[in-house]
Amino acid sequence: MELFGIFFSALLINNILLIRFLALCSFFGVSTKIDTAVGMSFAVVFVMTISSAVSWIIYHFILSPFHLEFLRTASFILTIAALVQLEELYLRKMIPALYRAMGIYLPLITTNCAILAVAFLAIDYRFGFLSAMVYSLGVSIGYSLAIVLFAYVRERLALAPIPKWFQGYPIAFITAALMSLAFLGFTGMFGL
Amino acid sequence: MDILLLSVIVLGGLGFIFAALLALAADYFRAAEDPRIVKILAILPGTNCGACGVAGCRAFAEKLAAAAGDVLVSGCVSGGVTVVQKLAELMGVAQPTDAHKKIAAVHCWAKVDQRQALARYSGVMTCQSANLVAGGGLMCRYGCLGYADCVLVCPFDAIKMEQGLPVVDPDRCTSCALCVAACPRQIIDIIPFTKRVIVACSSRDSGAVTRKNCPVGCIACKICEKEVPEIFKVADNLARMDYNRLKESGAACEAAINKCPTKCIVKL
Amino acid sequence: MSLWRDFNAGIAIENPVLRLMIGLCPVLAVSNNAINALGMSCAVAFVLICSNMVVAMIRKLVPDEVRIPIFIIVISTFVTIIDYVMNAYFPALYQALGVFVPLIVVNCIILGRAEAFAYRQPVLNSILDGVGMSLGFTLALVSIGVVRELLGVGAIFGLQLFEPTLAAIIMILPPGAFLTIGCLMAALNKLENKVL
Repeated sequence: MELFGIFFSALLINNILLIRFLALCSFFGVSTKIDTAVGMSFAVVFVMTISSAVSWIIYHFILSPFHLEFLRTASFILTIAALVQLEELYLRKMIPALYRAMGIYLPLITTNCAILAVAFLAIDYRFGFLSAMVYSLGVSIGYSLAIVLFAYVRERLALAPIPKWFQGYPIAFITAALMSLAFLGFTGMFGL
Repeated sequence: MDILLLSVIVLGGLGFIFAALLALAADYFRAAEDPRIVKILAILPGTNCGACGVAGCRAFAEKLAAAAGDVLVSGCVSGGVTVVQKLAELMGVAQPTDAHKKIAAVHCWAKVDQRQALARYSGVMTCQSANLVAGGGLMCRYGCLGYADCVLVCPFDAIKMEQGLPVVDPDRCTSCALCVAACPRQIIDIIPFTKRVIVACSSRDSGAVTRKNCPVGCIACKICEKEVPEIFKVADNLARMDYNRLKESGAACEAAINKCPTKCIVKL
Repeated sequence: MSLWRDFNAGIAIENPVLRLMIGLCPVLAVSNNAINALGMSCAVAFVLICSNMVVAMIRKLVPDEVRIPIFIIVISTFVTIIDYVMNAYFPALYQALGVFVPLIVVNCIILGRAEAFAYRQPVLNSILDGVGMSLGFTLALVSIGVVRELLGVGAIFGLQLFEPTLAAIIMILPPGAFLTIGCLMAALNKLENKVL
């Protein structure tokens, strides 16, 4: 099933954080505690799915017919920024619990490269609407998986005796290297 | 020229539509909030220390504004008398009179080189962890371990370690009691600010054992009890003080402070 | 002298990649060989210097509340320019860099410098800051690229130095990127004698 393949590939085999290197600034910045990592992943899943849907619609119904594909960079980023703001207002009124769970990470997501990247990749891979939605869902869940796992490891790392020059970010990067190595092992799974 | 005009129209149009949507949404989704909450938040210290028993300053402000009744204006312990007075003024209630200043006190006086060790501890360097592993290798099972859990948890930077012993800064301490909870040996407690005399030991070991473990521990010799019987009582091998009987400034304790053989009664 | 300081801050003390820890996504992704690294750094340099210049020029006219969207529009204009220029004149490089070229628009370095520096400083200082930051970025990116290419396939800038079979292919794969940057940061910590 093609959709299953897209979902699984986005989730594990081409994991957005550990294999495709996107959204790394937030990866290292937010993963120091498990709670913040979970809040961030909620925000990413929420924003990414909606933004990629709207971006897809804008590209295929507005930009493409008028041969204005070169405007996609500007229009996608405009869309994402506006959507994030709208979503923040909506959540604050309608689902306050989710709003509180996300905290400050919701507005921070505008500059998260993964959101913009998914919008672009959905076009580059020539996905239909449903495939694009499945793809963005897979990517965002893959992001959540990677960041929450990383947060668990980093919390333990904070208490471990690390050599002085490696404390802080260097050891975090090396941990990410090991996680990335583990995820590389998924290549070829299900014949993908 | 054609495509230039078209792109300006499209991008401008998109921007305009989004701006309009945002303006409408900001209006439609406006969440009504008690205006007093913002005013209360401005008065509160904003450290989210949790001493009021609620999760952070915002939660306290919301509870207070809702006038739930179980959260009084004097709930903000770390804000001090000024915050309590301002809150009482804002909420229109009478000033509470039980907002006496308090301070945290550490009931141990042994510096790091005075603590006898029977093993060398090499593990996670926190008091909580060391306490779990054979008491951190120290002979005294009741005293300060010195890995500064209390220093780390204090949101006001009011505790500093000096020679392995935590020292509380009286100007900064707001008696929020986070250090009390953080100490695994529970040797920190809150005492009235004006009565800063303490028995700086928590050891319930017998006198002979305490003597071996630490040169400044309480050996329960009862000299303090003889000198100032209303305030000092020795129970379970440890001298304890009755702060209710102690008048301000602690002048009455002078005799006990001078006569104590191990000098473990201390005026902070 | 303030101009000199603005210029060389971006190279070492405030190196965007290794000290400020911003703009990491392209660093790890395109550093699998030195040529891609150099190409990416040139693209970023172009966008950074131009957007710093324009933002500094219009800083007095931009109201505070809408400054971020304005920055983003300015930056995306330059990114679109470099995107199409690369596609036309350097197609092989463009293919190699892939989706990371349009992603320069959300590169934290460019938005961050526009916000933190170009919005408040005169044009010349902003240009120099842009040049300094780009140099720092280039230095970091190219050194990582050289290390990875050398240890991964045994080549530098396409020049084969020894047999690829003697090299560790993991270095040009994702884990190698994380590993290289982690060790480079540790080395920098030791050199500056301070842990970030």
